[in-house]
Amino acid sequence: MAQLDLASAAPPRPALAERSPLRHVDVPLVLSAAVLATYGLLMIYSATHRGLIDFNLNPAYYLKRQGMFLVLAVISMVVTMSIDYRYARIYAPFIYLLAVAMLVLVRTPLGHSALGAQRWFQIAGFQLSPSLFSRLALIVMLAGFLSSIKGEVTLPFVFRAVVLAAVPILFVFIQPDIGTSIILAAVLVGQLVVSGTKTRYLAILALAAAIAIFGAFHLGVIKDYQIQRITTFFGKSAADAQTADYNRQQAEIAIGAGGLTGRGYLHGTQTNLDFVPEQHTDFIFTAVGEELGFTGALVLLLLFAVVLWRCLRIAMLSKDPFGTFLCVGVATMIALQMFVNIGMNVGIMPITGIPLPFMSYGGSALIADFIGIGLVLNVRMRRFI
Amino acid sequence: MKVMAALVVVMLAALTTRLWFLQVLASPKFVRLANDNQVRLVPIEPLRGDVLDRNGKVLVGNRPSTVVLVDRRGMRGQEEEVLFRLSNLVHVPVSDMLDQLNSVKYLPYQPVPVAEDVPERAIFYILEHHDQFPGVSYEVDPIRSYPDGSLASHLLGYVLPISADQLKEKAFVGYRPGELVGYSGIEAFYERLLHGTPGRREIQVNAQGTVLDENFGVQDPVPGDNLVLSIDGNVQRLAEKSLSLGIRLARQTYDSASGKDYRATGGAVVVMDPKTGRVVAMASYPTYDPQIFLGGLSQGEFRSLTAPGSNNPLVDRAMQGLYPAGSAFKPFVAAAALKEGFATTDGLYDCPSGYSAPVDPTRHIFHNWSPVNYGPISLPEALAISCDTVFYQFGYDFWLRYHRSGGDELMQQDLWRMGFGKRTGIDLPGEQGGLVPTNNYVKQVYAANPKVYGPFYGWLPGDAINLSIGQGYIEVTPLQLAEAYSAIANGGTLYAPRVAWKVLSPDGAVRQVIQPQVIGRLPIPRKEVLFLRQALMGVTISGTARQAFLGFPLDRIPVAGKTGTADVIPHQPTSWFAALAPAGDPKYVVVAMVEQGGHGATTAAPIVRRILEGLFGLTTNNLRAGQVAD
Repeated sequence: MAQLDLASAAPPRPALAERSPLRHVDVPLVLSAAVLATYGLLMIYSATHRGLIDFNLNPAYYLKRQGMFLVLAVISMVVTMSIDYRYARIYAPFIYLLAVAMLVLVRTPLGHSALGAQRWFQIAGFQLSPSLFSRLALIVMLAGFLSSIKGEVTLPFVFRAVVLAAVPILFVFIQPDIGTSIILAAVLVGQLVVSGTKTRYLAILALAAAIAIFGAFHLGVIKDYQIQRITTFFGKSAADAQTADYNRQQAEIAIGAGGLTGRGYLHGTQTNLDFVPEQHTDFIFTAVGEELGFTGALVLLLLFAVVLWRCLRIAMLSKDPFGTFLCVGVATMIALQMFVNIGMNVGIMPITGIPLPFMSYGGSALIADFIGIGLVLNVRMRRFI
Repeated sequence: MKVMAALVVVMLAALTTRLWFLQVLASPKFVRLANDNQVRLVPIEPLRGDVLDRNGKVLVGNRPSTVVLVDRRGMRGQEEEVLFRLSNLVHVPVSDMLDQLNSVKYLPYQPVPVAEDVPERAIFYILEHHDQFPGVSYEVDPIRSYPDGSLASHLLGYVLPISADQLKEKAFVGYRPGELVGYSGIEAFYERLLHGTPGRREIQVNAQGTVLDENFGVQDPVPGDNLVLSIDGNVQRLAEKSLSLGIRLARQTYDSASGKDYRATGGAVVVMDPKTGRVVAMASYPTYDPQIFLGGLSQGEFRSLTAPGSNNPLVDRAMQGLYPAGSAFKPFVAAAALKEGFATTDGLYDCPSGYSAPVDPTRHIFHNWSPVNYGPISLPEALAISCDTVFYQFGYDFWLRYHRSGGDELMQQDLWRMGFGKRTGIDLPGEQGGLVPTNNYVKQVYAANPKVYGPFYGWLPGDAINLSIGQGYIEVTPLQLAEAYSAIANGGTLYAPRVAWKVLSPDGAVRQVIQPQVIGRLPIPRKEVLFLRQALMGVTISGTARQAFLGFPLDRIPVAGKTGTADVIPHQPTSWFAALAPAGDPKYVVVAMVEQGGHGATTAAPIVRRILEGLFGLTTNNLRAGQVAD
């Protein structure tokens, strides 16, 4: 792909007042993200209220918490929007190093973990997963690095970009958080594609990745329990495959039972009777599929289409390559998560721990998603200044 | 950038396609799966139909039984202790309880019954010490009841939980493990009618198996139909009592041939309405108590039923016992002889004390039962005094015809047409068809055991002569004789006997009347049938059963009958008596048989007499043996 001719893409400069950033907030993007998040709140309530009632708890417990996260996420988005994204380019190395440092620190006694799950920091009663913010850091870092390249993206540049991405990928991978490492890798590939990297370099990259993963298995770098988790990811370990199979079956039953128009909000038996595990987080889409049917699922996909269309469109409208790379990175992050998550819900992708952006229960992810949207909005807002 | 946009479009398209498949094309399947997921079905047993006698009296019904149930989910990990305590209380071994608890018959959501017919005080104890019996509950369930104990037990049959083999059979499609099904008798033959349709309770559960709603949906069971039999409970009781009395008497009677008392190992009585073929009573001895099958047979009960000394109480001798008919067969040989022209209604036949076939080079002498030479006598006289030698001549005539025609087995064909050698088609399972020997059959017997029988020379005069007096290879069931005598009684029509009369719906409406079925006719004209019926009156007036019917008001209630004493080497003879009464227009045919019971006139005839006394409202006395005559 040819390098973007950004000068010709930019319209003639309008008057100063018209160039005020606030006038250029991308309304469709904000709206669709907000609608997705609200949609998420409704489905989280549906997926959790019955179980909470059974335990004599407030049925809106998860709803309230997610609502609070949403407020925090919107604040984070506004904060992100208000600072010119070009500062991010300057501070990219610091942001990147901070994220890597957090990934290291979470492995010290400062971090918490449970049942071999990904690690987090406990801050004021909330769990903060550094791996989620590592995505944003990598997007910024790679955008900064790739936009600084003058001329053709040669193999040494590709190599350096890979090294930049490999560090957080490795740390996230051994947490183990395979889902996030896939997303990080996808962000790298997405941004390289847009940067005009030659296809053969990308092919070499794919080959190297395959060899690295293969080698990691056979040299015993990866611990047993990690192998187990990875084989689960590929659906190959007998015991775990059974669990994964159960998840998949129940998810398919839920979605299939929804039919064209669904069984009605709060009326899905698969959803209400707890047959789908992890339903308020990774399997939130099954609640949509069962209770609101094909129609509800299509609305959801449409909302994601709007978000992605706006992200890519803003990438093209960006004043500078840095903005373009930022937007592409965020779009890749959202697109891949959406595809892998819904894909595993409907049974066409392996089951991995990737949440559905904007919708799955979880504060860190929601905040990270909205900061990503904030970055894209930021690029669009400042395309004239 | 176009690549990115294209990728996004492909992703969205892939997801939409998959969703279209899952939610629109394959949706019905998933809806079903989702419903199966949340609903567990617990069957509700239907109430089994009652079996009533012709007067509406309940022969088999249902009674409440207190059942103790154990729910493993509620036992709080004290399974062993609780079962041990329960075992001491209700006297069921812990191992039996565990078998029940582990049985596939019950769903994990279902409390499992571990003891039936639990006495009230045991229930009170459980209620008072509830903390010692977590997970233990009780309910009152219907179980089969037999108000008259063992009355008509063979005929009625019993119920048992369906077997694994039966579950695979076509006849039991739709049955589940653990359901009770009829195993014999009426209970088995009319299983589908009596069973009813199970209902079901739907229980809603969540993914953890926690019950959310015990009555998510209920489909009530449909009770089974009630069945009215043509059996008269009073006559049945009379028949059984008379039979057992007769057998007890035979066991005190000295048999000069064997030098011992008669063993009288078993017997049977059939009382039929000859005009319809409906069975009024059908008894078999020894009998059993159908209640022992409730809740399954114990080892001890099984042993007692199958012990050699118990003489196979489960066999219904009336339709499953095979015996030579002896002289009770003679009326049918006479009918065959009339049919083929070997005998006429006005002919006279020699009755010497011995007979040998003219073609027999060894001049083997077949003896009459009596050493007296009666000279030429008529056919009615031959039947009344049961003259064997007259019938030997008929047998020989049949053999000659067979021999000269090159293999026409006329005698056998006529006997088949009278219902012998095949099942009567009664509405009871497991009926035996008996046997009329033929050249081919004898050939097979010889071939199967050449050491015993030696070389086979074909169907010989001796075979025909033996058959002519109901001896040798011939095998009949008491029911077959009752069917054939009924045909003599009603002028020649053979009915397939029927036990069931009416099918009633649970609310008492008549759903169906079971019609008697005509299956054939005796091969002689009605006039000759009535001639035979008339001839048989001589048996009680002046013939072999004269002594047995002394004092019976024959002038008011004439009885046609026939005695039979069938030799079964090496055992004691089988005693037979068949009666038609009143002889002018018979309402009843009564056939009695006692295995190893001696002479027909001494053992079987008094049994029949006592039953006739009861049927016609005469005072019934204890049995007195008749005279020793064939």
